[in-house]
Amino acid sequence: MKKFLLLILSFLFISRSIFAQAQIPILQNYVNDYAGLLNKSEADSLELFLREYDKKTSNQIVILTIKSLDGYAIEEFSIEVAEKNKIGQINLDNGILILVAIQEKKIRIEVGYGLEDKITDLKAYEIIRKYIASNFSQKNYYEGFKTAIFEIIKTLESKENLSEQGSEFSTNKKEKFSLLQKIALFGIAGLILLAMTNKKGRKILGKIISAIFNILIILLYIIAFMITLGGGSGGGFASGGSRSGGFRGGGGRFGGGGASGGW
Amino acid sequence: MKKGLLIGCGVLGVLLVIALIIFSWAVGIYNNLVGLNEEVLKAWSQVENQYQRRYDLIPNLVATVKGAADFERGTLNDVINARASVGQLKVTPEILENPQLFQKFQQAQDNLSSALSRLLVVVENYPQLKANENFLALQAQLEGTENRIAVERKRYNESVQVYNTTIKRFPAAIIANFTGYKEKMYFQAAAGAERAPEVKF
Repeated sequence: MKKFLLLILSFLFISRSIFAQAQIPILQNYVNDYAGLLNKSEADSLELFLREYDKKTSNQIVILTIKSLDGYAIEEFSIEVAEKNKIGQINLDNGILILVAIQEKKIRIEVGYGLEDKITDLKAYEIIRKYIASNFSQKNYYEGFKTAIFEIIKTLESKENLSEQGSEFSTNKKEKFSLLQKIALFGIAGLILLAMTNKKGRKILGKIISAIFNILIILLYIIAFMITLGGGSGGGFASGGSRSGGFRGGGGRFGGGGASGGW
Repeated sequence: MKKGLLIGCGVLGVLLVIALIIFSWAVGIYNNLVGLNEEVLKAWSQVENQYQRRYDLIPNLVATVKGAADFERGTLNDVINARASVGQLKVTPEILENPQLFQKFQQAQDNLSSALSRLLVVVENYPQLKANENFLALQAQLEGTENRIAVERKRYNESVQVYNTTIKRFPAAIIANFTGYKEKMYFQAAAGAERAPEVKF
């Protein structure tokens, strides 16, 4: 019995690690400059600014620069990064990812569901064109990021009062016990009571209880397994959690909003 | 006599307990199916929303392009016709379980996608359009919508995959069969979607 459970348990863990994607980076900072476009003080100042902005408003703006997309379309790569790192807060979906691929000279601003009505595709496109691409073409990377972030924040604040209804996607968890299940539970309780009033029934009851227990445990694991299969993104352990002040996604979701461009 | 009765009662009790366990287990599986089905429908409605959004953007685009590049009549008409045939589709969640209707839906939407991308390529030849702010805005919105459609289609496929594997697997398959949960259709990658559209002069 125990061996069986161990087997199921180990299978759960193995299946998790096999499916984890290797190429999509786990972001630990607000500024993740893998392509080395910024010097230390520039990266630090942006990092500090974005962290403070997150603390103040809970909007998470994250920068990621990479050397190459390795054949990925930038839209494909950016949505996977944004989803995997869950930028933005749960139910608010207020995350923004600014992705730059240096070799392909491509830029994408990925906008979370909750900010789509403020940073529209058009606005994102404008920001890329006016602030990022124009500065990047003269190698003013820091200036490009800084002005783009200011413009994003300005846009968010100017429309903050207009619409404050989070996202349309509030997930409603269903009640776990249905009426039928409750009736079944009561039935079992009744049977146990009946058996307990009877002397010889007790011995049988003991066996029944242990049998039920075993079955329940198996069921629990099956259900847990189904949930891991179905739910998929359980979050797991946030890797940046231990580092004080590092970036940590809050559970925001994305639907492909934003814009792409190049320089 | 008394002993026999007692054993009889015990056996009956055990059977009852087992029956109840199986029953509540079946209910659990059924509830899971309901949840998965709901996920698919939710994902589907997102796909529909994005397609609708694109549908609504097109008249503006057509009007803008018409003003500046009136000689691209053929390409423009392709877009207009493809949009019209999308508009004629009657879309209900039932089409998810009907291969023919689903195929038709996807075909019409994919035709519109390719007509649109052809138009956007042809338009590259018109500098006055590319300098037109209104056109650039529409182009950005259209590209954004195409990307959203791709994302929502992928999510829909993922949710269908979970749903389909669940209803096909024992023991949920039995319950799915009893309760009328049927296999749902996937979006197929459009044939030649990876190829860039050809431009003829």
